[in-house]
Amino acid sequence: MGTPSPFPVGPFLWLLVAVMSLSMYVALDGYDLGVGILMLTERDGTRCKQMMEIIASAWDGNESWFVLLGIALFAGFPLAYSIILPAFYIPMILMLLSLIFRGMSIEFQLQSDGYAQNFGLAFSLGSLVAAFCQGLMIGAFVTGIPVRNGHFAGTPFGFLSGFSLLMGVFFVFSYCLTGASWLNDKTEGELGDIAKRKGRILTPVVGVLLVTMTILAALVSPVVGSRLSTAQWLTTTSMTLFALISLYITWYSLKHLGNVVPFLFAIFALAAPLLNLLILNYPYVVPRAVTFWQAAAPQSSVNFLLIGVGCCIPIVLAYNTYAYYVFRGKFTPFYSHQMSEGFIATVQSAVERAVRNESISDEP
Amino acid sequence: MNTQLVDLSRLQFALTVAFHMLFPSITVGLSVLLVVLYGTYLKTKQHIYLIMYRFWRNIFAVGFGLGIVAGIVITFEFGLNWAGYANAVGPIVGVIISMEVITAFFLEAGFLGIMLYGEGRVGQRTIFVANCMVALGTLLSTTWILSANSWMQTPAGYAEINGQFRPTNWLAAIFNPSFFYRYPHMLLGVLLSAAFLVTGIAAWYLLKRRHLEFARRTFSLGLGVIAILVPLQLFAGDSVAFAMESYQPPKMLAAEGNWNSTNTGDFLFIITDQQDQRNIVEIGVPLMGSIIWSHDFTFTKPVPGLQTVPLSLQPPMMFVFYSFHLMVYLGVLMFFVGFLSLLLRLRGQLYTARWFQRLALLMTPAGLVAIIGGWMTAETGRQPWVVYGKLLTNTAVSPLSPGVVIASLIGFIATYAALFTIYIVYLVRAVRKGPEAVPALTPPPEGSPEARVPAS
Repeated sequence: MGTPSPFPVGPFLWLLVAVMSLSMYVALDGYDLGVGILMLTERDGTRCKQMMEIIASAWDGNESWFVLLGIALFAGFPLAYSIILPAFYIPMILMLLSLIFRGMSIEFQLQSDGYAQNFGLAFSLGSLVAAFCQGLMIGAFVTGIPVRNGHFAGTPFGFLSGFSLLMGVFFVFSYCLTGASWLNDKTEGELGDIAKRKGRILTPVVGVLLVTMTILAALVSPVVGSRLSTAQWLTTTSMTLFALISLYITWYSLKHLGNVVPFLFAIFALAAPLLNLLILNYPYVVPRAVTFWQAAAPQSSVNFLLIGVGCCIPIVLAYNTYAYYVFRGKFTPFYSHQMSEGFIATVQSAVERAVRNESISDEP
Repeated sequence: MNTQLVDLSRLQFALTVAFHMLFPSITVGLSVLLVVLYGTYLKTKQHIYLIMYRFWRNIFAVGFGLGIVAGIVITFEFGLNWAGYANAVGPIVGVIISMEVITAFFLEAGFLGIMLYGEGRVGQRTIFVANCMVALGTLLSTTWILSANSWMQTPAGYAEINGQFRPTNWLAAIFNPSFFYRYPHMLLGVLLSAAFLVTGIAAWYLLKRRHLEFARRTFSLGLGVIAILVPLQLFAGDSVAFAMESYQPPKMLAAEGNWNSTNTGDFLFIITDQQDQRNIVEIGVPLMGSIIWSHDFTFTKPVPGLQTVPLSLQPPMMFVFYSFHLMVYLGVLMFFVGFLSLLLRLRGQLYTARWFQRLALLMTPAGLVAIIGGWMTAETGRQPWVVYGKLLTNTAVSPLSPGVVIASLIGFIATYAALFTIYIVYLVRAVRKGPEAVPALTPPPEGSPEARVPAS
């Protein structure tokens, strides 16, 4: 597929925005999905509640990046959007339903006294299914989407393949690793130790999955074809090496450091192979049917997007960073039973006194 | 064409979008209320405002979370079920919604964490600013979404090339003709639906004689908003109907319930036979139609009928008629609530007239139901078009097998039924527990009112 000349700069820049949204999403929502999945391996209710509290202030902000990814495709590459979504109908719907259950259970959990087991379980299962479906879709993207006359021309279960299932598993484990590293950064004591231990067990599993899926991706990808070009060789090996080194650093630092370092490198270890898959498929936005310039919205739309949305992105990044800065450092556990009951009693007596004062001062 | 697939996809979209709409309908107004309450607290330092703030903040938090996850569904349904639509309108509607996501969705979600969980970590002023940002986000969101939907009602500023709508004039597309009528109507609608919810809950406390300080202030505030905004809303609603009569005649013709153009009355109740193009039963007020629909006080101008539109391009009359009238009747009821509240306020009986409190309690969901009725009118009345006059709904549907859509529809129905039930249970429990037992979201900070009760 020859690149048109002049090179479609606008659509390419917008493609970068979409890739950035995907990376931000995987990096940020990945850890809160991972924390949710890790709750399945945690029996203690108080600890589960704490895990949910730790991600309470950020989960909806994190999910925003997924919305941006979707809408970036809808607005900037409407043809791709109109092919990919029907092709991934089943995993997409499953993922959306899981996200709903998750969102519901975390909000209700945070406002219930103590730990509500049902909401906890709904939250972890929702996280697990959502993460798995995301992997499925990335996998199905790599194996290609059948297209005829600009429409999706496959079957409802066409997204299923050995490779897409493997990707699902890879996503689940990678998210667990980033989740464990996040908990390691946010907690001390028992919960921190558990996070460290689980993270260190997860690291080699993620490493094996990562290498396997990268090799298989090159074999199943219709874009790559029979053999990798030199450029593809170079990116694949360097990205994979980078990911493996990052994994090692995560593994090593999880033992010694209770800060953000293991998390950052866990993110790199997930983002690098993912970016590698996207680069292998370049310039296709629907492998192997539609390139990004074929799918691109007209210039007037792309220009509007680059100026309107593009200018807002730094601002969005700035206040999101601020929001993370506000909640920096270790999380202070709060919801343990005694504390919250004692606190409510304090508030009640304060309120009673305040109301009494009020009603006296209201008298004419 | 594949009518079954189209009907299933429409049903699913209607269900999911109506469910989503329930939450913003409350949270836009609540976020503004929270700004007012927290602002008042910061200014007066009266503890009661902090109690009011926390109570509504927690109800807001849950509603907002559910609104977000239900809203994400909509973002992707455009492509999942309406691929033809997505590819055709992406360059315009997609871009407008992108602006919503980047200026509003992120703003809300980014500052929500600080607003809800920031106490003790940041100062009160920062919390107030975060609260303002969330409110600003919800208002911006309403603006963009109304712009996008209004474009589908009155498309403007585009050229149609290869079956795709391409922008030629962005200002004309974003500020399309019906936007100016529909936006104020929707904005007032969401503010009012929150006001009725808040007032209804306060009425319940008054009836139960509980939390009287909280209840009186809330009741008074809510009814004040209602008394001011309902008259404005009646005017805004009338202007929308009047404008749509010229922009989109079939919608209003269906809402009027007439088939032929000789009647000057206004129908209250009809049973129609769309195939035969007639009403089997019709009950109405003679001569009122001229005033209401044509603003004609000589009672001579007949109300036009839907027969002027070819059968294949007619929206389903019964549906449009009743959803429209549901909204209108509720609007009239709301007006009376506002009017009566003013009378009672003047006579000093606002907190003692128990029949009025019962009425306010009954009216708790009035605003929400009216909004759903209004949207059903807007969306069903536009049929068979998805972009009015330009793109037919049945050509916009995704190439899916109906079985898959049935499965997803069942999934949504089950999930949303569960979610709705849990939400209502939560709401009832939170109200029963009362504003003084609100679960705190953060530890008590040093030097806060919890630690140190105000001396006055």
